[in-house]
Amino acid sequence: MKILSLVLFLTLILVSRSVGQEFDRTIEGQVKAAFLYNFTKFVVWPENSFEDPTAPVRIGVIGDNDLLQHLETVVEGKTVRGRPVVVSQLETLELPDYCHVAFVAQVPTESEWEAIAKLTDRSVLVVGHAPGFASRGGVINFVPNGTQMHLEINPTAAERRRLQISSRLLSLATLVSDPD
Amino acid sequence: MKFSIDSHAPAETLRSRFCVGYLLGILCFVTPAQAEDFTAELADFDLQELLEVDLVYGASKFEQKTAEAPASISIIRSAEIKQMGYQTLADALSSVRGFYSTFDRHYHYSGARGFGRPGDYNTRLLVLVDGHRVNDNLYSAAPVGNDFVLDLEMVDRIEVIRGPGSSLYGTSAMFGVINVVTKTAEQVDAVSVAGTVGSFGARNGAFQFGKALKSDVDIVLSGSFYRSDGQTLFFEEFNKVESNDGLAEQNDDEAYEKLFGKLNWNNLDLQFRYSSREKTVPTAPWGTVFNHPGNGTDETHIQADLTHKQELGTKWHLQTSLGFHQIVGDEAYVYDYSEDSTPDLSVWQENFDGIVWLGAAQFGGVLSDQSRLTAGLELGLSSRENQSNSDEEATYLDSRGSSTDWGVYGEYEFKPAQEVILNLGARYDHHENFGGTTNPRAALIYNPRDGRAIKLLYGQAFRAPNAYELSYHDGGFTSKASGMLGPETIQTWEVVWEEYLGRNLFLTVGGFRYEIRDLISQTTDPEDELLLFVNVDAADADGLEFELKRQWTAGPTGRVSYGYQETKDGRTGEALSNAPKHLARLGFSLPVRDPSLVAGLEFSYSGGRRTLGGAETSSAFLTNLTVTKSRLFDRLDVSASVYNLFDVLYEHPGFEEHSQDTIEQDGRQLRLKTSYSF
Repeated sequence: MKILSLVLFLTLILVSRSVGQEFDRTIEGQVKAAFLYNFTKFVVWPENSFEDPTAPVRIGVIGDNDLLQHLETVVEGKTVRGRPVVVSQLETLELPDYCHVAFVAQVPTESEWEAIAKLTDRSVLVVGHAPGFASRGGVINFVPNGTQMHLEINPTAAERRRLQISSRLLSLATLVSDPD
Repeated sequence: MKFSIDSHAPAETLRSRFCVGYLLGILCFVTPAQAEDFTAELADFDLQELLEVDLVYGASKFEQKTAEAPASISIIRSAEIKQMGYQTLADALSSVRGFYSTFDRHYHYSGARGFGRPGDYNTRLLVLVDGHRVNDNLYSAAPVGNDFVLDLEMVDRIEVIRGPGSSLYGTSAMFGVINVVTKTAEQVDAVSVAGTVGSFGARNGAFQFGKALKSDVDIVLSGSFYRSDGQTLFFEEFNKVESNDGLAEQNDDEAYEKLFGKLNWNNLDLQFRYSSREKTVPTAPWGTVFNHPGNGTDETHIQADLTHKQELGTKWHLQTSLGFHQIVGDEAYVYDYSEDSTPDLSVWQENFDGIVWLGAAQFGGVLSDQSRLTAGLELGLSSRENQSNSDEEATYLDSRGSSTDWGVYGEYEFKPAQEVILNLGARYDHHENFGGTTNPRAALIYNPRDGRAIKLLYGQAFRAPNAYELSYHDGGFTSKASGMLGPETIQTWEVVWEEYLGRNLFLTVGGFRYEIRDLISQTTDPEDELLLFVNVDAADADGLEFELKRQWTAGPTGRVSYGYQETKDGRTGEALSNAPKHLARLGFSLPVRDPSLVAGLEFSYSGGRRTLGGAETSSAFLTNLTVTKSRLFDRLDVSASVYNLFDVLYEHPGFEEHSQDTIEQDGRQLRLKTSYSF
C-alpha cells in the first residue's frame, strides 16, 4: 500500500507537468477579470465619486477586447454595496468623469506612462500588468509567478487618490512604494 | 465473533477495479484541455481562492497565511465539500492526512494521529464554528456526524489545525482544533431549497437564505430535516432463534432537524445553531434486548453566540462575546430481566441536560513591523450539569451540578528577520474541579524563500475531566462515580516542511511525536467490581505525514496523502485499539468537458485496526464517486453520489458495551441531491 501511495504521488507530479502549463495561460484573462471585480469589494471610494447613491461602479479597460468580454460575464447581475457594476472599453487614458477602476491591459507606452502619472489626483484604482507598474503611478499590479498570479499594491498611491483599501486585500499582496 | 473478513469481492478483483478507475483518472488528467471558459466559475471565487493563498484564523486567533501559522494545517474548501460529496464533518476530516473516522451505528467519531480508542467520545478534538466552541459541557464531546450543529452547505471552509491548541483555547484542544467557518451572506447571496434522496430511505429537505442588505445588515438562515429508515442488519453474535436469527429489523432509523442563523449588523454578530437528532441503535449494547425499536438516543444542541468587534485605532482590535450553549437529551435501553422464555421487559432511561454560559474578551494587534500580540480572557459558567437515570422501579442517579472555569492566554509573534518567525503562546486555565494548569506552545518558522516553510513546533495541551466522568453512575449495578479526577495532558513535538513546487503543486511533509499522560479511562475497582473513571492510562505515538495537493485556479484539483502512525499504550507498550497504522488517500475532482460538470473521485485506504478482543480488522479500500452539475437551466444544481462504489465489506472495532468485536459498516449507497435557487 505504501508503494501504491508512492505511485499515486509520482503520477500526480508527472501529470501536473504535462497539463499545467497550457491550461493556465488560456485562462489568464479570465482570472484577471475575476480579480478586477473582486477589487471593487475591497476598496472604498470617496463620497463624491458617485453621481448618486444608486450609481454604478465603473470599470474601464484600456487595450484588451477579450478581457472586456470576460469582465462582462463576471459582473453580470452582481452588486457591490448595493451598486451594480458596469464595464466599458476605453480608448485612451483620458478617463470619463465617473470611472472607478481603470485597467491598463498592455504594457504602457512612454506617453501612456506620462498619462498615468498625471492621474494621481483622480480617485481611480489604476491596475496594470507591467513590471514596476505600482511604483510608477499605478495602485495595483498583476505579477505572474509561474502559474500563480500575485499582486503588488502601492498603499501610498492609494492614499494619494483618497482610496481606502481593505487590510484584507493589503495582507494578501506584496506592498511596494514610490521610487525615492 | 468476526475477525479478518474477506471483502465481498476478492482482493484481485478489487485491485483490478482500482487500476481501471485509476487509469481513467489519469486519462482525464492528461487529456489536453481546450481553452475552456471558466469565467462563470471564477466569478464566484474570492480573493483567497484566486490567489491560491490559504488563510487560517484559528491557529493564532488572527488571520494569517498557513505558511506562517504555528501548526500543520489543512484547509478544506466548500467547493471540495460539494464536489467530493462529503455528507458529514467526519467525512470531510477523513479526507485530510492523519484523520480517520469510526462509526458504531450510534455516533460517528473522528480519530486523529492514530488516536481514537473505542468508546472515547470526540473529546480530544476541539470543534469550533466561527471560533465558538461546539464541544458540550457534560461530555466535552463534539458532534461530527449527522448530529453536527449545522449543514455542510453553510460551510465556507474547514480549518484543520493539527496539534495542541490549549495555549489559546484551553480544554479539549489536544490533537487539534477544527474551526468550521460559515459562509457570509454575500457568499450565500440567494434563496434556495434543496432535496435529497438516498439509500435506505434517506430523505432530506433544506433551505438556505442569505442576503447582504443595504443598511449594513447581513442575514443568513438555513434549515434542514432528515429522515432515514435505516437498514436491516445482521449480527452473527445474535444469530439465535430467540434473537430473530441475528437480524435487527427496523432498528436503524434516524432523524434530525437543524436550524442555523447569522445576523450581522456593523460590528455586532449574532449566531445561533440548533440541531436535534434521534437514532435507534441496532447493536443491542450494554446487554439490552436485541431487535427492539426502543433502544435509542435523542440529543439536542442549542447554541447562541453574540460577538462584538471593535477597532481601536488602526492597529488594535477588541472582541467581546457572550454565549449560551445547551445540550439536552435522553437515551432509552430495553432490558429483559426474565429467567425463562417469557420476556420481562424494563426500560432503562438516561436523561442529561447541560447549560453553560460563556464570556470572552480578546484583544490583539500589531506592536511593530516585526511583532504582533493576541491576548484574552475566557469564562465558562456551567450553570446546569444534570444527569439522571432510572427505570420503572427507582431512580438511581439524580446528579445536579454546576462548575466554573476560566482561562487567560497570550500569544506573541515575532519576526527577528525577514525569513524567521518565532511564535510563543501560553494559557493558564483554572477549573473548579481540579485547579490550575498552564499550557505553552512554541513555534519556530523559517521561510527561506517564497513558497517554502519549515516549522519546528512544540506544545502542551490538556483535557479537563467533565461532569460525566466525575459524577455519572448507575446506582451500583455496574458503575460508580469517580468524584476526583485530574486533567489529561499531552506533549507534542513536530517538524513540518511545506513547499510550493510550482505549477500549483503544494507539498507538505511532517513528523510528530506525542506523549499523553493521566488519560482518563474506565477501569474496574477490584474491591467492588464496579467501573469508574480514573486517570490511569498513558499513550505514546510517533508518526509521519505526507500530502501533495494540486490546486488549479479553476479546473482539476487533487490531494494525495499518506499517514503512518504508531500508537502504543504508555504503560504496557502494546499497540492501541482502533489505531490504523497506515492511512492513504487519493482524491481529485475534474471538470468533464464543461466546467459546470465536475466528477469527484476519492480512493481511501485504511490499515487494519486492532479490536478490543485482540483481533485485527482487515484493511479497507474504499471508493466514492460524486458527479455535480451546476447551473442546469440556470437555477438548478444537481449532484449524484455513490459511496463505497465497489460495495466493499469492512468493519470498525466494537466498544466495551458491544457484544460484537467488530461492527460491519455500510455497503454501497447512493445519494441524489437537487437544489434550486430563486
